Formats: sequence, C-alpha cells, structure tokens
Amino acid sequence: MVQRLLLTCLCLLAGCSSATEELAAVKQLRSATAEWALVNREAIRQHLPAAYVDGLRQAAREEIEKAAASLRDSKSEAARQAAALQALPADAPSDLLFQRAAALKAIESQLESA
Amino acid sequence: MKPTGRIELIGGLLDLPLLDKEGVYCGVVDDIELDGASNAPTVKSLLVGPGAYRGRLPGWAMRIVGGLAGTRITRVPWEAIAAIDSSVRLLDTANAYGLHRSENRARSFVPKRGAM
Amino acid sequence: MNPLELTLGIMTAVGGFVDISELVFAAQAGSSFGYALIWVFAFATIGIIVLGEMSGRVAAIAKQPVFNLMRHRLGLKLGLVTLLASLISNLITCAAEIGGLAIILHLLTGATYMLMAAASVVVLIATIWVLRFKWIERTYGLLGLFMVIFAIALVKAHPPWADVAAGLVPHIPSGLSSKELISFAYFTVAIISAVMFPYEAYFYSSGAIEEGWGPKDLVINRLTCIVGFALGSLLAISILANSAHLFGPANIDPELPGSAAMQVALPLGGLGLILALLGMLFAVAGAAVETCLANAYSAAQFFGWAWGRQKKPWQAPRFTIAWVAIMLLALGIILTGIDPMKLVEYAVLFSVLVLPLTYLPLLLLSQDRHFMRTHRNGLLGNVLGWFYFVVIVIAAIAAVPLFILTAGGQA
Repeated sequence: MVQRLLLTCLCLLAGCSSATEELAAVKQLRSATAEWALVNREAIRQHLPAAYVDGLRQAAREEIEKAAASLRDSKSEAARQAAALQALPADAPSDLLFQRAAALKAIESQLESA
Repeated sequence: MKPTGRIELIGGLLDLPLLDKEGVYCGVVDDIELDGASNAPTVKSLLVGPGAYRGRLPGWAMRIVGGLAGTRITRVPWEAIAAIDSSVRLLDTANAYGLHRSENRARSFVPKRGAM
Repeated sequence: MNPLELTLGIMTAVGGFVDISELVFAAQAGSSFGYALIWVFAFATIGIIVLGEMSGRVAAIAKQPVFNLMRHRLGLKLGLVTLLASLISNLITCAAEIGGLAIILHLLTGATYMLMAAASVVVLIATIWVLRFKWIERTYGLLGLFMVIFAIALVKAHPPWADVAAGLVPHIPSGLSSKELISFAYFTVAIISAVMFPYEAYFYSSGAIEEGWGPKDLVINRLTCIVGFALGSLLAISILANSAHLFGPANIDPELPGSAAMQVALPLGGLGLILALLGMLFAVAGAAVETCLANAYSAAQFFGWAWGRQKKPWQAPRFTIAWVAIMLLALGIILTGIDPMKLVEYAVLFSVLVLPLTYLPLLLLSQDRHFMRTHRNGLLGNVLGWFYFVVIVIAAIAAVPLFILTAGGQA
C-alpha cells in the first residue's frame, strides 16, 4: 500500500516534471524574444551603447537556442516559432519580434491551462 | 572569570576560542584533559588541534579530518589560563605554547608586501 | 557617536544591500506578479534587520563573532555540519556574484565573458589585499549607491503609485491558477532567502569585531541595520516595481541580468543605462567580496585561526590563504561554463536550507545572560527573532519541493 502510494507520487512528480519543463522552455522562449525585441527597439530610440546592445542580443539568442533545444516535440508550434526566430538576423525588426513573443505567450497560456 | 573553583566543562569551556596575551586567536578548545580521581577530577590541560576531535567525531569523519588536517594535538596546561569568558585568554603568546606552528608555516606562503 | 561615521555606515549598508540574486529575483518577481510581492521584500527586510541587529550586538558585547560562539553553542559535530553547509552555500553565491560581474562587464565593454570573470577576480583579490576592512566596506558600499538610479527611474516612469503601495499589504493575488500559486510560493521563499542570505550575518558580525565595536556602538548598530537595510530594500523594491510597470506588460520575465538595466534606460536613456550598469557592477562586486570574506571568516573562526582584514595579510596567513583560495575556487566554478543564472538559483536554494542552522545559534546567543549581560534580547527582540526563525524553517522545508515543481521558478 505504502509502496503504491510512493510510486503514484513519483509518477505524478515525473509527470509534473516533464509538463513543467515544456512550459518552462516556452516561457524562456517568449521572454527572451520579448527582451530581444525591447533591446532592438530601444537601440534605435535611445542610442544605447553598442556593447550593451550586442551583448543583450547575443544573450537573448543564446536563451532562444537553449529553450528550443529543450522542447520535446520538434513539430510543435513552439518549436516552429523557435526555428523561425533562430533564422532571423540579430537586428530583426522589433515589431516582428514583439509579434512572435505574443504568439509564444498564447502557446504558453494554452500549456498553463492544460 | 578566573580559572579557579568549579567550572562547567561543556557549557563554559569546550569549543571556546583561545586568545593569547596579545589578543591573537590561536585555536579553539577542541577537547579537555582531566586528571585526578574519577569522583574529583581536575582539568589538567586544554587540547587543541584536529587530533583532539577523536572521541568527539565518528570514525569515518575522523579519517577525513586526519587526511585533510593531520592528527596533531597541542596541550595547553591549565595553569596557562589567565581568564575565561566568551574566550579563553592565555598568560603568554601563542608561540610559547606551540600553538602557532601551522600559522607560522602558512606565513611562508604569503607575500609581505602591498597591503595598507 | 560620530555623525559622519553613522552616515557612512548607513550609506554603506544601503549601497551594499543588493546583490545578483536580489537583482534577478526582484526583476522576475515584478514581471511575473506585478506589485504583489513587494510585501515579501518588506517582510524579509524586517527579518534581516532583526537578525542583523542581533549579530552586531552579540559581536559588540560578547566581543566574539557569531561563528566563534556558534561552535561553542552547537558543539563540534553540528558545528562542522553548519560550517560545511555555509561554506558550500557561500561559495556558490560567490561564484554567482562573479558570474554576474562578468556579464555586466561584458555588457559595458564588449570584452569576452570568461576574460571579464578572470579580470574581476584579479581586481577583487587586489582590493581585498591592499585595503583594510573599513575601506573595503566603504568603497564597495558607497559605490553601490549608483543603484539609486533605479529609484529615480521608477519615479520618472510614473507607475500607478496606489498599486505600488497596495503591494506592501501582505496578500496573495486572487485568481491565480494552482501552477501560478506554486510559482508565487517559490518566489516568496526565494526572496526571503535572497534578502536573508547567511553570509550577511557572518560578514556583519565579523565586521563589527574588525571595527572594534563595543557597548557604545549599539546605537550605530541599530541605526545602521534599521535605516541602512530599509533604504537598501527600497532599491530592491524599485527594481521589482520598475519590472512590474515596464516588463510585465511587454511579456518580459527578465532572464538576463543585463535586462534589469533596461528598466532605467526606458525612462532615462543611454546615460541612465550606464549608471544602472555601474550600480549593478559595484553592488555585485561588493557582494562577491562579502561572500568570499564571509567564508574565510567562518573557517578561521571555527578553527581558531588569526583572522581579519584589519591585520595585514601576512599577520593572518591561514585566513589570507583561505579567502584567496575561495575567490579562485569561485572563479573555477565560473570557468566550467556553468550558466551564472543557474548558480543564482542554486545559491538561493542552498542558502535557504542553511538559514535555520545559521540563525538558531545567533538567537540562543543573543538571549544568553552569561554572554550578553544587560544587553540580551528584550521581549520584542525575542518575539520577532523566534517568529522569523519559524518562518525560515518553513521556507527551508518548502524550498526543494517548490524548486522542483516550478523547474527553478521558470514554470
């Protein structure tokens, strides 16, 4: 009886764990995309220092790469969005990036309510 | 508190830091050596050093301590104590009791320049 | 009481309050939950004020720092467990700070991350070597006051002040899903840990001994803790509120420490960004120094070595070798390529597990008639102290399950 209870808890935790990781990856994708969009927008508006802009762009793209690699289903909408983002240049238009972030937010909301 | 009369060995002495007459830290009371009859023991000396952990740590932990820090014990006679409060204050310098051997060895690795 | 000394002490506490963990968690807390976690910062700050004041008072009256008396109170076995746990916790934290420094320097200069990590460590070792304690503390603490730019940016950004004020009232936002509730709980535990890091008590009490505090300094101790930590906490709360106002609506959960500086760039432009990065640089550098020295203090005090930066390095050789070794070990951890943001998560997790072991001996000592005489805890001190101890124990028990369930606060 105790063994079955423990096994159930472990299965639940494992189940929690894989769904949680998928959600974490999509959140990471969404946030990194939005950060990239913000720095691209402000780089033009505020004339931010080049070192900072380049550094943040590079960091955001690395986060996107990491998050994409941890997505389980390579055919999911999130994976398709991630691939499209990785194909964009560093100075991609901020409006496009904000749109992609909004799309990822919608995917994230679906996963949260699942 | 002067070291005469009765003293609480665990609550009042064990694991207190040692300070020499110049106010320099020179170890911790790692154990206590008793003398005299079992019904009227007196404190003979304070034991300082990793070897004094024997009896206070399980065997496996003592093997790790011995491997990392050695097993030396330095004995500080009871008569060397000037006062006991939040530390044990000694009557003479650490070197007089053989307490700064490791510190002196370590000093040879530290350059003596550059500090304010 | 010297007013200049008091002012400098308070300013040092303000500038030295924020470290990389508070930066990251304040920014993420704001973007994830709006202003709802402000009260947790305020709550944890009261905790560090209470426990910080106790550690300074114990040092000033018993003339021993916390770790010296901790071993005496807990005994050798439990003392060794506490020492080992706090050494590991502080080392991870120190490595996280160095990683944070390297990121900030990379963003300021464009130089590579690993090179900036190594350069940071060289500069930190040099400053600890050359400067005496008071000047180490003052230099990093006062330079950390650049962080005030975050408070200025908040005012300039015109957030909804009524909502900011409402965030001070303890509450859990309504309408959260169960996943969000668990995430909220994780952030609560993480903020408590980040604000009440164990190294702060060790560094503060050792610093009190370094500065030769006695009964005449109890007022300075109390004012430094209350005013200094409270004002420092306002800087962390500014980061949270800025993030809530600017990042939350933009779908940003700032993963990168550099993003926090954008909060200042948005209302104040490129100059504001530079000042924000400088503030972060010095605050994080100060924290790296504190965590490194806290570890060296702990080891030296536990084993009875000569210690202190009021002495020249060769007058306390084992202590000197210890802090240099810790700084190099922390650099070694960074050079393995581990993500410093992961280190921040582990630092916060490990620290909350160690917190009860850190604060229990302090509580026992601060009410010990033999050591503290007429300066032991009053009724308020005892009530608050034991209340926060219970909070810390609950946080420590909840930390690991929450970390797993939220994938380290990411989900």
